[in-house]
Amino acid sequence: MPLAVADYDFVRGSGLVNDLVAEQKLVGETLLEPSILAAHAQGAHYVLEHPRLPFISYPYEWSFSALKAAALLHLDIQQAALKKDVTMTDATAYNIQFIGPQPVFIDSLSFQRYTEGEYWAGHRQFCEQFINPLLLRAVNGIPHNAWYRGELEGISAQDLSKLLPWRSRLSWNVLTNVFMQARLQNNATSTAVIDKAKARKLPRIGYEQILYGLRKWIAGLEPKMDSKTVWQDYASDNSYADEEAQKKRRFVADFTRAVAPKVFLDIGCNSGDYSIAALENGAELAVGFDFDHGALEYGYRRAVSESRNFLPLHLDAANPSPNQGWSQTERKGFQERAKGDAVIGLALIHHLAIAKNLPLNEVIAWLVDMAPQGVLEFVPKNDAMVQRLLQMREDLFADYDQDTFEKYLGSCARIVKSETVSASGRVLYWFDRG
Amino acid sequence: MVVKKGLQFSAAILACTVLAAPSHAYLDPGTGSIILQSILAGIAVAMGVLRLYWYRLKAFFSGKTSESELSDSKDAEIRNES
Repeated sequence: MPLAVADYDFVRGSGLVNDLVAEQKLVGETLLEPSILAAHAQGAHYVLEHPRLPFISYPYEWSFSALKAAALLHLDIQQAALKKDVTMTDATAYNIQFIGPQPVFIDSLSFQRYTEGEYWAGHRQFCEQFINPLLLRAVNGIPHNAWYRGELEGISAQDLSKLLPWRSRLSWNVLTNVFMQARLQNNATSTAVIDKAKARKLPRIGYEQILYGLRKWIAGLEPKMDSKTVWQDYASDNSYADEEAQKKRRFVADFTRAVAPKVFLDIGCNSGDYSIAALENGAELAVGFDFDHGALEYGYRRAVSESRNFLPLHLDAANPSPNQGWSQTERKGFQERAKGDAVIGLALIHHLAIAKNLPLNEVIAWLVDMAPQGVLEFVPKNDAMVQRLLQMREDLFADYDQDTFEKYLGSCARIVKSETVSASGRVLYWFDRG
Repeated sequence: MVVKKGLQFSAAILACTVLAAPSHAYLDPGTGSIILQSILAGIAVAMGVLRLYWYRLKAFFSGKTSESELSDSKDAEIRNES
């Protein structure tokens, strides 16, 4: 009998899986007749079916608070598991996905029977994939996303210890989990030391205390803010008071009611105003993308506090997440995953076509490709926002005008409806390529 | 109850320092992490023992049973903050 079967039986017998699924911390599972997979997995003892998740995201796309929520979920599950004599084989952040702003654990085969005295095998991985990326932002004020995307295993203690300021050693948790761990890892090169370490035992109470201490510490971590940035700056942009925002909101609401999308993509979501308008008008899940870490952070907190099924993720539209990992298929790129039932790109295209010098026709085609129907906004050159982008540079964009925009959009989709929403001449286009 | 806890802590301290059979994991846990965990566990357990004796001492002077001191304490968990 394969090893995993004994663990599977023990873990299911403990009631842990049922409890976690009931608390929505673990993705659900149904036991199927093994014969269903006979052609692919002959002799399989168990065949499990999980519900399909609406959208897959990766830790290098999460906001600080999303990564923190994922870290806390992992620790909560470990603590609940240990009470039932179950432990986890690893602590990878890729075992967590988000449904709206709620993290959910997806690898139900990570659980195994706990042996008295065993170490937390995933501790180092937990530090690299959760704690160290969070500290980079909490202590140094640098978002984890770019580094994490370049190093899929996260940030090592050795690397981070070179960057954290000296005073951060005053924190017991930073001192031990980063500085001491890095030093111990660097020094432990002789086989004698490694053999001795392998032979050590961790008493259960010590294991519990480590988990408890980390949970308490991580729960208190906050992103280090620039003195200029406050969450209220993002909140003030949300006022629907001004007429333009109201018109846009109405347009998105009408569009969403007509399309009734399951997955609504909001490219350039800011703190999520229009995603929330879509959710209030029949969209099941809104996934937003933005470049601004502050906006993402605010959007995520808002989704949690208002219980919105909205997940804001980090995206540099000029350089989206690529296919990467093993064989370049392990972690899919943005383009392959960003397929929705509806897409909107409001106050976005001028940033790409003008600030980033991207060809207007390609930007429009890129957005239209994400969903069969959507709403795109054209911002004319005389608009204050575009003027700001052109302030310090030459205007090389002779063909950036409404006619050209309509021509390009018309060449890849049918324009269902359009509406001018500002005095400067901003126009919303509802397209359908179905 | 307190005696039992004391025994549990003492056994745990012993376990921290005694060598035993190697274990095999799905993941390379990292030697630094293992040594660190044994240090952290040792400290946590030692603090647990100190706390226990502290409550017994307090109980001795206040005339309360150490059991009720322990359950009175809202901070019964071992402190391990930054």
